[in-house]
Amino acid sequence: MMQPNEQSDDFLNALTGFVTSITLDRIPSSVVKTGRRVLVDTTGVILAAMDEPQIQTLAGQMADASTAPCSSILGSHQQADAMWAALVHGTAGVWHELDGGHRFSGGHPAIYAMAAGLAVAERQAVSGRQLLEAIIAGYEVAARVGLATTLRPGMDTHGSWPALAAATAAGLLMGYDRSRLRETLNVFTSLNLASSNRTAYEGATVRNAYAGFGAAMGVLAADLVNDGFTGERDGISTIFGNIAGVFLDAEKILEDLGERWEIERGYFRIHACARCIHPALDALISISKAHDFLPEEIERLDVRTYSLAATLNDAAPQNPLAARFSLPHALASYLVLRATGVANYSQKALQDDKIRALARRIAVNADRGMTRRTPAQRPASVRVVLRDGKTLEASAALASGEYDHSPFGDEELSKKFLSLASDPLGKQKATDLLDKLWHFDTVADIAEESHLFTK
Amino acid sequence: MAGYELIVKSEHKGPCLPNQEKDAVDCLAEYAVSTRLEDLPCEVLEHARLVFLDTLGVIMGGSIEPQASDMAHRLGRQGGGPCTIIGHDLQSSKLNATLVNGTAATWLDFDSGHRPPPGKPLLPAAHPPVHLVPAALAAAEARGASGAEFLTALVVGYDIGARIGLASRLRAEIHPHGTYHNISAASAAARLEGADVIRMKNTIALAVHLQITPSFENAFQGRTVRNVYAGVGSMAGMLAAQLAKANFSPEHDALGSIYGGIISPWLDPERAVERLGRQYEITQGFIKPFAACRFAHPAVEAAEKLIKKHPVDPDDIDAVEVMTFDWAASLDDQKPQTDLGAKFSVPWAVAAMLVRGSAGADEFRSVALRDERIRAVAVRIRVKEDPRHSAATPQKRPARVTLKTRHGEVYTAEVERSGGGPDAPLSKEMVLNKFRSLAEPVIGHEQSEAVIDKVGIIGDIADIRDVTRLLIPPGS
Repeated sequence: MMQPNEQSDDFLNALTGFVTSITLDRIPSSVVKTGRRVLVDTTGVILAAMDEPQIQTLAGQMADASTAPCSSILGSHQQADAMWAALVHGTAGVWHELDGGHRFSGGHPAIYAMAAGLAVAERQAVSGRQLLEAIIAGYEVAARVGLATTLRPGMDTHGSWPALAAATAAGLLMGYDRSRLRETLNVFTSLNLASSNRTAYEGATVRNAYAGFGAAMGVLAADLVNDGFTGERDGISTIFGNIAGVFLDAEKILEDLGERWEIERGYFRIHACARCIHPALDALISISKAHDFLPEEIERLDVRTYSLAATLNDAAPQNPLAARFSLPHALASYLVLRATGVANYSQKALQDDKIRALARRIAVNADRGMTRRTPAQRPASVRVVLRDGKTLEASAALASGEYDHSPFGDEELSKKFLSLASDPLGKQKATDLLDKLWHFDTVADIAEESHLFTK
Repeated sequence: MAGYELIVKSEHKGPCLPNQEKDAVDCLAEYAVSTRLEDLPCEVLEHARLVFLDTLGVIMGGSIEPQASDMAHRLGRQGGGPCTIIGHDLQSSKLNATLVNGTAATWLDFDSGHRPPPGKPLLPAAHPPVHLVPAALAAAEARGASGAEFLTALVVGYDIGARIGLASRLRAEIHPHGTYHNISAASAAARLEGADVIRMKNTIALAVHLQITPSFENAFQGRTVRNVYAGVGSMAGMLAAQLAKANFSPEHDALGSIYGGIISPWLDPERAVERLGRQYEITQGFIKPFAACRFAHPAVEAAEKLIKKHPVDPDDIDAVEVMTFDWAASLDDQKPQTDLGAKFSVPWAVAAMLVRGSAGADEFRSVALRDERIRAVAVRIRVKEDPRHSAATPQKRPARVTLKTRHGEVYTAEVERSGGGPDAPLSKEMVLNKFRSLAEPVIGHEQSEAVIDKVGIIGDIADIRDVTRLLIPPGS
C-alpha cells in the first residue's frame, strides 16, 4: 500500500519545494527586512519572560533533561538539547502576550520559528543568513496552512499549526531538501497538540507551555527524520482537515505563493495583552490623549467590538494570564497606570483597587457589523461617559502595528526590545545584542555568538 | 515467578464519588496518592508483575530496530543521566529516556493493551503499559525508589489513564497511542515523586492538556512516526509531572474541554470513577500472543487452529478467505511494504502463521518481509467483512478462516474472540517464554532469567535499579 512519498503534483510538494529554494539574495528585500524585524522583536519577547520564576524553574528542568546540551537557553547561563531549549523559548515567548502574530490565520508563527530556529541554528553552527531564511520559510509554511485550516471549536492555535514553523525552520537548518522537509512536516502533524482555548480565558499557564511543546515537537520531528522515521503521505490534510481541524481549504495554501509573503502580513505588539483587545485599547488611548480626565471622573465605559474580542469580558481576572485576556482589565489598567506594558498584568496590578473598581464599570458588547468586517478589519469603538455627563468617543478599524495600519518603525521595535531585554541581560548587553540582531545576516557562525544571548 | 504475599487490608475505603466539592479528577487524584500496596489484592499484583515483565520484553525487542537504536544513541549516552535506555548501554534523563523507551515499546506491536471503551462502533483498545512503564521506571530510577513503590505506581497509574479512556470515546481517526495513557505515565511519575493530592490533581489535568492528535493513517500506511506516539505520550506525561512541580496551572475542567469536545466528543466523568479502588483496570487488559494489530488476532488464532488440525504445505495453498469484523476487515493489504505495515495486515499475519506456524516478533521484522514463502501465501488471502461478526463486537470479535488447497480440500476454523484477554489469559509460562524470546537476543539467557526472578519478587526489592541494571546488554 505504501507509495513513494514524492507526490509530484500536490500542494505539499509545491510548498516544500518553494521554501527550500528561499535564499536571502533571491527574495524581495522587503521580506528580508521584515525577517530581521521578526528576529529582533521575537528575541526581545522571549528574553522578557526569562526572569519569571516559573520559566526559571522550567529552564533548570530542561537543562537537567538534556543529554547533548548544545543550545543556549536565551537569557540564562544554561544549555540544553535543542528540543528542550526550544520548549523553554516557546513557553517564555508567549508569556507576556507580546509576541507578533498574523491576523488572517489567527495564529502566531513567529515565536515557533524563533524558539526552535535559534536552538537548532546554534547546534548546527550555521550562519545568521541561514537562520533568517529558516524563519522566513517557517513562517510562510505555517501561516499558509493556518490560512487554510479551520480548527475544531474550542481548540487553540498554540501548539498546533503554527508549530509547523518550528518543524520547517529546524528541517531547513539541518540542510533538508524538499523530500526530507516534506517528511518532517508529515511526521510533525501527528505530534500536534490537542490544545484548548479556555486555557487563556481562565489564565491556565499551561497555555504558555503549549507554545513551548509545539516548538519542541517541531525540533523532534526534524530529528526523527534524521533517525530514519517516516510520516504519512499528507499529514497536513489528515490532521488539519479532519482530526485537529474540521476543514482544510487546500487551495489557499498555494494562493499567490512567491508573490505574497505571509511574514509581511504579520503584526507586532506593544501592548502586553491579547491581540483582540488592542483595537479598543488604541481607541481609548486616542481619547485619553485628546482629553484630560481622571479615572475617578469616569461614570462608565462602553466598548463595542467584533465577537471574538467581545468574549474577553471578564472584569475580575484571577491571575496575570487571565488578565492579559481581559478587555476590562486592560483598559482599566491603562487608565490608572498610563501604560500598556508588562507591569499592567502583574499581581500588584491585579490587586489594585482602583483598577478593579474601574474594570467593573466597563461594559463590552459584540457588534455584528464589526464582526462581519473581520479579518480585513478588527474594529472596536469606545465611549467614555464622564460623571459630569460629558461623552467621549473614538474607534479603531484595526490595532496599531499591522503592516497596513499604523505599522511600527524599526526604532519603535528597538525601543521595545531594549525595554524588554535590559533587565534580563543588563543594559549594555541588551544594546550590543540589538545591534547584532539588526545585522544578523553578517554572522558567520551563530554558535560563536551565542554568548550574546545569554546572561 | 514467586508470588507476592498478600497482606489483607483491615479497612476498606469507601469509593470517592464526585459531588459538588469534588469532581472526577479530584477522586482519581485522591486514589492515586492514597492507595497503598497493602490495599491491592494479590491477583492485581500478579497482573502488574506480568504486565511489567511483558513490557520490558517488548521494549527490548523493539530497542534493536535501526531507527529506534539511532534515536537511543541521539538521546542517550554513557553516563548521560539517571535513567536507563533499555537494551543499550546508554543512560539519559527522565524525559529523554521515556521518549526512547516508549518508542521502542510499540515497535513490534507486541505490547499489551486494555479493553476498548464501551459502545458502538468498536474503537481500538489503548495500550497503557507502553506509556506507563517507561515513565514509572524513569521516575523510580531517578530517585532509587523501591520495588513496592514502583509496583503500586504501576497499578494506580494504569487505572487513571484507563478509566479516562473508558469514560470517553476518542475520535475514530485518532490513534490511541500518545493520548490518554500519558495520564497514566504522569500520575505514576508524580506518585513516585511524592506528589500530594493537589499536585497530583494538577499533574493529571496538565497531562490531559498535553495530548497529541496522532493519526491512525500512519499505521495503515506503515509509517514509523506511529511508533513515536507512545514515546511522546510517555514523555508528555513525565513533562506534565514536571510542569506541576514548576507551578504551571491547568484549566478548571481540562477533562471536559479535551475529552468532552476536542479529541473525544463524549465524556461521562462518573464512569471514570466507577468502582474505583474495587476494580483494577490492570486486570482487564490483554497480553498479546501475536506481534500484530490486536484486530488481526482472531484471524491469526483461527489460522493457528486450522493448521494444527490440518497441517497444510504452504505450497499447496490455493486460496484463503478470512471473514471477520469491520475493523479487522479493513486491514486487508496483501503486500505490506514495511514492518509496521505488515503488523496492520491480516493477510500477512495469517500467512506467517500458515507458513511458519508462528506470528511472533520475527515474522514481522523488516527481514521477514523478504520471505518469499510468506509473500506468496499473503497474496492469496482475501479478507472480507461479515456484518454478523461486526454486529457481535465488542463482546466478541469473530474471525473465520477458510483454506482451499490445490487438491480441492477445504478446511475451516473459527475463533470468537482472541486469547490473551481477561476471559482467556495467556498462561504464565507463555508470558515468560514470550519475554525470553524477546529479551535473550538483547541481554542473553542469564540476564533474562535474572530479570524474570527479580520481577517475581519486585515487591521486596529495595531499589528498582537492581532490576534496571539488568536491562542493558551484558558486559557493557
